[in-house]
Amino acid sequence: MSHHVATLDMLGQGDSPMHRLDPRAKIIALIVFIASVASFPKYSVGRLTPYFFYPMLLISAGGIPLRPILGRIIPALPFAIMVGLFNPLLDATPYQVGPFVARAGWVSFASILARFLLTVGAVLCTIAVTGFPSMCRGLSELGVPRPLVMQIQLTHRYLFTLLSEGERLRRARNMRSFGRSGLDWRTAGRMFSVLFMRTLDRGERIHAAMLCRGYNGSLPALTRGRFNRSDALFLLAICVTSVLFRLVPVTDMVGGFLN
Amino acid sequence: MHMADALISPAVGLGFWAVSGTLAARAARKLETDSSRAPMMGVLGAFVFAAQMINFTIPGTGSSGHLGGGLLLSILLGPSAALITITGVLTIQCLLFADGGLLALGCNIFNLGFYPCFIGLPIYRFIAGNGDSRSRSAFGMIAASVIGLELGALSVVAQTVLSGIGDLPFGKFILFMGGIHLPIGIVEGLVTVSVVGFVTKIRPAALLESSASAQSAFPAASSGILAALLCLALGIGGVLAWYASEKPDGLEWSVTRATGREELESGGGLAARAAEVQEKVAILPDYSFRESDGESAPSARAGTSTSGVVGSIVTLLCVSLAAVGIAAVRRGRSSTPTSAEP
Repeated sequence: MSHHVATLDMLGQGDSPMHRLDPRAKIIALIVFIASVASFPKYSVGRLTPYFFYPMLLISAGGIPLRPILGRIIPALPFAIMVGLFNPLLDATPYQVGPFVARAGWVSFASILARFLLTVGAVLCTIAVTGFPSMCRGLSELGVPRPLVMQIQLTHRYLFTLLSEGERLRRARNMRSFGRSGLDWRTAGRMFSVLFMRTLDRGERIHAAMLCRGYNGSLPALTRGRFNRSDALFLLAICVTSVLFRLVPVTDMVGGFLN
Repeated sequence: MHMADALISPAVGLGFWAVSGTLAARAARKLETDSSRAPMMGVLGAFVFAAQMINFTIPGTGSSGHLGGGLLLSILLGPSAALITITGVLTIQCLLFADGGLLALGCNIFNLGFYPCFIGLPIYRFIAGNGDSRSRSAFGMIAASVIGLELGALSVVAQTVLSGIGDLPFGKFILFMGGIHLPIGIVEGLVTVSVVGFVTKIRPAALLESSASAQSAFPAASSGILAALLCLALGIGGVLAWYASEKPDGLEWSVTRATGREELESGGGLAARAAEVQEKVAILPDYSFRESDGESAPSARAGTSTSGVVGSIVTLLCVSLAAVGIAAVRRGRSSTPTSAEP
């Protein structure tokens, strides 16, 4: 589980035109992109297809391998499917799809899946071409309060250590549990207590170590971002295309032209 | 029960972003004076991740659940620190784990952070009183956990229904979500009791110190502001969602207002020809919806034209080809020695 996340995280250290963009440009572009996709009416499927350009641009121009991205998207799918699958059951009105007539519920279900792929894909690809530390720098440069950014940074820093500690604890517990015994909340409660207290100790050690190294309440960034012309151009291009695809039925025009 | 971007409308998403952003910023300002807590809170955020790895069985359902952590942290750290910790956890889950959406982040902070920290904790404190009676404080934790979780589940339902993308009927969805989360809430409450009890027994200082600062972190006056914010959130969500459902949709509605036209004309000829094609190709003309026959209007929905379908497929192909092209060019360039690159 943590394996994919770690690889996704490390991809941010790569070098490509997409990696070199300022994180602020990528964050704002991501928000505009997701808001545009989410603003489509319930039954839009076809009109969402042009939006695949953005994750695909990040993947291709950023040189990201597909596996870590898919490795995160697929485990997250069940929730969207679970809620979306009620649509075909509940919404039986006929809906014209070109020459065919479908249950409207299936159309909205397809729309939910398309939205899911687009929004989750865009977030993961953005992280993959930015890296978490730069992302945090971008957030604080965009005015997110400092304690909040620091919280995200520090949690991320100790995430993998504690995740593997949690994994070890769970494995040890599972090995000692036969049948269903030992998987109950009493055991889990004791495990959380131990983990919590170990975490408190760790926090104290880390704080002391940071103080030894001159920590004064802020984590200085090694590089300061400069928002130059290529960043502005990228941001403008993504925002304009996202809004344009929303306002102009591009796919209808393409299809009409072909007919 | 993380909300996904796929199920949310921008009105609901941005409304809750505004509310949760305000709450998180207020909590952050409260903590800014004490920088020594930052490393500890960072590690505790990672603790939530580790704790969520350890699942436990929910009695009577045969399924397993994991700790939410909001109530536990707010009892141990105080509500502001807990809200910030949960916000950090949810942000990382959204960015790195594809768990919950970015547009839905505000909703998730509200559902999983605000309720346990600012509704659950006062409930616990009210029931537990001065904390002398162990059974009272245990009951308080279970009640706080159940209420916090049920409110979160209710919120998920409300946000989904207001967004209008999922079709789940409000009543049934709420019974379903409420029913599922009741045993989870009880068990999470029991786990919280066990952890808090253990920590106070082994390391009372950890709890005393945090609850002392917690008292100051939640003055009575702020509950009024919070109630106002809650009403504001529901109001904004309700009004915007009404527009989104009553009007064609929020954005289209504003475009109509701005341009005075129902739909942006995409070069009239094209649209007319597309309609023509649709007329010709329609296999079941009964099901083609024209604005003119008003009888069938309530259940009828405007369909997608054939050119729309063809265009979508062509667009998808073009986008994929372009991506493959860019990747190929990049690979070609990186294999040849680059001298032009700065």
